[in-house]
Amino acid sequence: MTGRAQPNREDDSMDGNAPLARQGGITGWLGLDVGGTFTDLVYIDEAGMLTRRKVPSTPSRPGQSTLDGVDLLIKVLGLTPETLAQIQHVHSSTIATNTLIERDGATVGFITTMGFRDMLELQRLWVPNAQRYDSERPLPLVERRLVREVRGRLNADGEEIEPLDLAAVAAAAADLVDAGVDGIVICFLHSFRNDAHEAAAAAAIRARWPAVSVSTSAEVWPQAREFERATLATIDTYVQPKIAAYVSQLTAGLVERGVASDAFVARSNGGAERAESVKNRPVVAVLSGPAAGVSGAARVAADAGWDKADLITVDVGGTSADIGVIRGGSPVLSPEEHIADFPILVPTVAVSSIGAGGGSLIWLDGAGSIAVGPRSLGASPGPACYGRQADRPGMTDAFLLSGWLGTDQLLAGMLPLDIEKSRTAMATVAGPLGWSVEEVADAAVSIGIAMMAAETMRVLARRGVDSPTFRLVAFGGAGPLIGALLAEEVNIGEVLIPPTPGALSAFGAATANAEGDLVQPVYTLLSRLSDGALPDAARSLDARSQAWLAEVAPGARLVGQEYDWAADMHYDGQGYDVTVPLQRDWLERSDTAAIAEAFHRAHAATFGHASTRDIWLKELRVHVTGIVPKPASIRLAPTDAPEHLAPRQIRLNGEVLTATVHFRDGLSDPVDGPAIIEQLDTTTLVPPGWRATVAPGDNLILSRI
Amino acid sequence: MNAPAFSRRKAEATTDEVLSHLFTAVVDEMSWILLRSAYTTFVKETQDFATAIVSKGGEVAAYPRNTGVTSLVATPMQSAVEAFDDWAPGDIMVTNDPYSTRGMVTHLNDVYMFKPVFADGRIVCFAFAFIHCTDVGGAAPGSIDMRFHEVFQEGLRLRPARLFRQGVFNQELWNIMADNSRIPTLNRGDIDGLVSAINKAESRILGLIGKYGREAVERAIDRNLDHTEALARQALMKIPTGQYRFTEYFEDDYVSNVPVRLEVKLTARGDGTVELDFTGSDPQVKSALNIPSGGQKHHPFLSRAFLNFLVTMAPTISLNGGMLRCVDLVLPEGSVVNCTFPAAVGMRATTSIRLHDAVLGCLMQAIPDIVPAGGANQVAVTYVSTAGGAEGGRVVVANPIQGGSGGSASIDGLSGSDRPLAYLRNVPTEILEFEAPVLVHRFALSPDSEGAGKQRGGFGVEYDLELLHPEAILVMRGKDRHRFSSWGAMGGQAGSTCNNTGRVGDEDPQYIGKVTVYRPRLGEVVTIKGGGGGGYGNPLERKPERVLRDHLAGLLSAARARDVYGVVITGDKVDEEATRALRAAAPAPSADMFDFGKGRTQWVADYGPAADTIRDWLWSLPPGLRGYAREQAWKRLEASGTAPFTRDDGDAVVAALTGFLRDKKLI
Repeated sequence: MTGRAQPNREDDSMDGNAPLARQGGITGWLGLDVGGTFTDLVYIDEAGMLTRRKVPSTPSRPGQSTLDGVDLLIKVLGLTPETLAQIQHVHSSTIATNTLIERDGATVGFITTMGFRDMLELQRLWVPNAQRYDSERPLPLVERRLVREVRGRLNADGEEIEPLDLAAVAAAAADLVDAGVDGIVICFLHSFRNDAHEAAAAAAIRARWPAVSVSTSAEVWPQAREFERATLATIDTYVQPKIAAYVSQLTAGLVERGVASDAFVARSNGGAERAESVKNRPVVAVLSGPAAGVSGAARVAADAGWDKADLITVDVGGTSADIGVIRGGSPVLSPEEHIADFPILVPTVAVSSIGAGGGSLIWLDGAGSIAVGPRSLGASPGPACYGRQADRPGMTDAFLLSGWLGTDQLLAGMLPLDIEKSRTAMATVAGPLGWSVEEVADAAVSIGIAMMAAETMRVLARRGVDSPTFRLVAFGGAGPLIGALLAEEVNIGEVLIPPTPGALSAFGAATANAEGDLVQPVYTLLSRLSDGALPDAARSLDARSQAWLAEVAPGARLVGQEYDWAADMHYDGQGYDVTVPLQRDWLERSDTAAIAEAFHRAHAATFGHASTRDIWLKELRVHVTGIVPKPASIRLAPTDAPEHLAPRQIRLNGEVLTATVHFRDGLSDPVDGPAIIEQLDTTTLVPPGWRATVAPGDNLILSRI
Repeated sequence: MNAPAFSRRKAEATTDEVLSHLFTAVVDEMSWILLRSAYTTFVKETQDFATAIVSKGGEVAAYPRNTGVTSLVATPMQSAVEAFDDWAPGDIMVTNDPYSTRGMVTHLNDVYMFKPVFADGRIVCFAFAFIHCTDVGGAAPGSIDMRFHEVFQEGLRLRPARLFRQGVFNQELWNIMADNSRIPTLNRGDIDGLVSAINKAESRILGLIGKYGREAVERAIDRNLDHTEALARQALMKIPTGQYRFTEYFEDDYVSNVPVRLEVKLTARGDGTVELDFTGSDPQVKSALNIPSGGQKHHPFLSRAFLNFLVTMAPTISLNGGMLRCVDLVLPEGSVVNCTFPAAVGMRATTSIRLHDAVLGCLMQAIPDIVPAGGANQVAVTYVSTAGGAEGGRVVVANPIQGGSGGSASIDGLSGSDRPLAYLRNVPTEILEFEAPVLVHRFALSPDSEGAGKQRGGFGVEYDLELLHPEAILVMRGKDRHRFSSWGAMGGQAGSTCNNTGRVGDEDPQYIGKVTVYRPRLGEVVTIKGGGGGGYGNPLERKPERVLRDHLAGLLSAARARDVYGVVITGDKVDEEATRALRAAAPAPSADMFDFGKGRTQWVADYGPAADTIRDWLWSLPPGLRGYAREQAWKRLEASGTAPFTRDDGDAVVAALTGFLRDKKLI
């Protein structure tokens, strides 16, 4: 297909939906999030009607749960092949994460600069949980026996000081191929400044062993820090076979079902890219699930009228609470995220986890204090209320015993809850203390929320910002239960509950734009900048970003493009960088005065002071966005609402209160706390002193009265 | 107890726990502010800073888990609290003086700051932060040299003084500080960072007081300390009642070739309390190794191994002063672990790290299933100082070169990192070469360097670097164990030693030794080597497939696999039959619990008995004479014959010197 929009069609919907002309021919938006236990689906039709479903994941047959879910949607919504043909569909998954945790990826060989064989063993030296005598560094993804060193050296300016020994490269590759590697990663020192050695080595290996996958660190992400750059390239090769198999499986199945449009995969930067290109560079998508959740939060906030807002996002899932930050409407990206203890240098939506989720264990420590997490009961056996065990209570048991969840509710819309088992399990903690099970539940909830509050404060402190100017988006299975209480603890006055709190990653995927990040080394003092350096670097990034868009979003259903420019800079003599937003025309004009001014301001904002020293401009970056048309006004598809919900007793901060109970579908009037708002898969708690109001996009906003 | 009281106690218990989490957010926020705003190198690259909330009784009440130095939890801070009896809101105290703070500060580069947090007209707690300032004056750039013997050589010494009095900056005090540093501008950046951090903490704590009430905050501070103490006691109960002794050495005191003895006796009393008695350690030395512990009853610098042990046993324990309430210290005055004014103290961290292993040696006898064998136990903090001096030049940290850690009952040792310093990071070669005129030739594990064992020690590392500018200087602070290696335990073997050599081109490596400041020849490649960690358990019991894995990884030669582990490797396979035969024929392992390696074992055989006599005699002398007498005694002993020396040889030297000192009317 082409970028031409479909012919205009009379649109008679009464709720202000965009005509198809403005939807790039898209007939529906489908987002998927394949987790370890469940696969979430969100489908938004042309009229903005949102349907969500959940099906069991199929870890042994990646891609199958996606097809199961689509079959379910076809059945429930009666989707026709005509509709399916042109849907926008975006897939996020935890397959890469699981591959890294289970260690069942490709066998990778590694070729590096002479003297640096142990780059992947020594890592950055430090050990997680450094004080414990039983802590270890993560095991490298490449065994040391599959690492080879070759002569050839560049200096820090990227100049050759020793030529590459191509004979040694060939010998090393022959060794590794004999040893049975699936792929070879090449990382030479300073290749981010000059990739000539890496490229020559890769070309030589590819020419002789065309069947072996070869990748170089500079191709994957040309940025300084050899261990981090090598790790990124290694992860890419390590997870590639699994991701490729998953993508192939799901695309073939979708084609069979009549889907003609390209599959997209959600990226770790909160955007998406065409699945066919992710197959070749899967490392850009390793943290797609959490990233899609945060970008979904940014989108619902915009829908609700919180334009360009500063937001904290908290996703309370089964094992952890994941906290993200949105500044001015965009998720904060960081080059310091981790996956399975490995650093991810490529810009990734920053998410910080603390072990306090619905499955987190409630236990008594050796000195008789109630403790929450970090151990989790997971999805299986899960908290006692899941019915599979009754001797270890989890946070969901505490929510149930506090009356926040109804005994007649189904967890995630699927599982009945067994409060008797919760009671029995909680008694193992309550008994020794001489407390009632309800009192322990109440205390555990307060402690869990304090842990999330502490983590939220840390996340803000790390970004050098303070909470009163922020608002909160709470999602995940238990996020809407604790959102307002967490907000109180961190002095935030407004909380947004999305229409699909339990499936916000799938929602974020469904509505994702094509987003890419590109980096270009410059490495010069602003005072010594040669005339053409900046315009040349910028034009090179222009060309690369346009090529990227053409590759990842061919056929361009895009309705716009955006380029956000930035540079990593520091004062001469300083060891740390600040990423400074820039304007494209400053680069074209080599306007060093404007660039320096922007840096001084950014430095002062972050560190509280500026200097008169000369400034290094190290790397130029561009974040490119290809805007995918969005459904105009999103509404939850109606479900069968119960006629009348009786008020119930809840416990909160040591008090027993009577909460009114409401059903979220069809809710229109404001609800004052104490109140409970139930929906198919989630429950929202409105504490005393808070009011819930319905906002555009079928969002719920809790605010202090 | 009546019902309402019980009910109130429940509510309080929950609030205590809630506040304990929120306190950690406050100290973490302080750390982030410091990391962001501090100027000098050590903060960013080696995490040499700390933050805390301090109780009004002077105990650390909350401490960060993942940032800064891990070894200052439970530092005694009563001297700060007691510094003034007229504390007022808005006061900020600064000090860097070990002697007037009775060991709270442990060397002059550490600039400590405190601010009282007032509510209802009374002090609720203190906000605390410190930074290692790169230079505080003294006789050497950076203020530290192993060869210093007086604290006066180590820079400006400032007893507790108010840098802010009720919010007003004390310009005159700052002028004195600035005039006594080579880099006042950078120090000012550090000071400003400290001030912002503790001011932020004050406002956060006031926020908590506003929400939960002053009494709740005070109570939570006290109860968190008690709670941590209770958890610590439980863990300490795992140490069987009894006494455990261990001796560690520095192979020399950096100004002579005479080793320094560190003696520890651990007494587990059976009630969850323990005592560490350092009697038998050497008198303080005439180099910067001394620890100014102030003779405190509890001090983390002398009980680091207990901090690690407690976090291992109780991973979720709140880090605070309660951790060491049950670890009592006996610190002989005038010893290297409790020096008296004006001994130099700049390199006291080296001693503290060695004491980690000394205490580990006691614990190994008591709870061998939990603690690891000895580690390489050096941290050569290596940095490059470029031309220009003072503020024109730059100091760029290269790497903290450690060695391997010891194996334990459950896992092999860490390679390239030692347990007391496992939080330290290296600097990427690409960053270092960009920032300083350096070419790194190698940063790699040393094959065959591990202490063999059923669980082997970690491998050592070799760092080869070349300075590309003739005016650049290489500073390597804290090199050690060039002769006395890490120790193995329970049948495991000692690791390899550390080293420091240089070579130009193809010449043979030349020994550089343990000097701190080195100006390499142009083109000289300097190798800093960290040794291997000690092994745990008999290497003949190591699973052959694990020996094979190390061999295939290129870390273990076939010869060493055969000779030390009894594993015969042919090609890339274990010859199982030959291995069985070789292992069956191996002599019975030594019954010694520890293997101290050749260097130490030989020295003890040659000098141990005479050294004991000399040490006992030194302790009988007036403190002021001990340094001189030690020097003279060892000179005379060496001159009196050749090793091995007996107790009698020692007695003869002592008798002659006693006579000499009497003649001179010195005793």
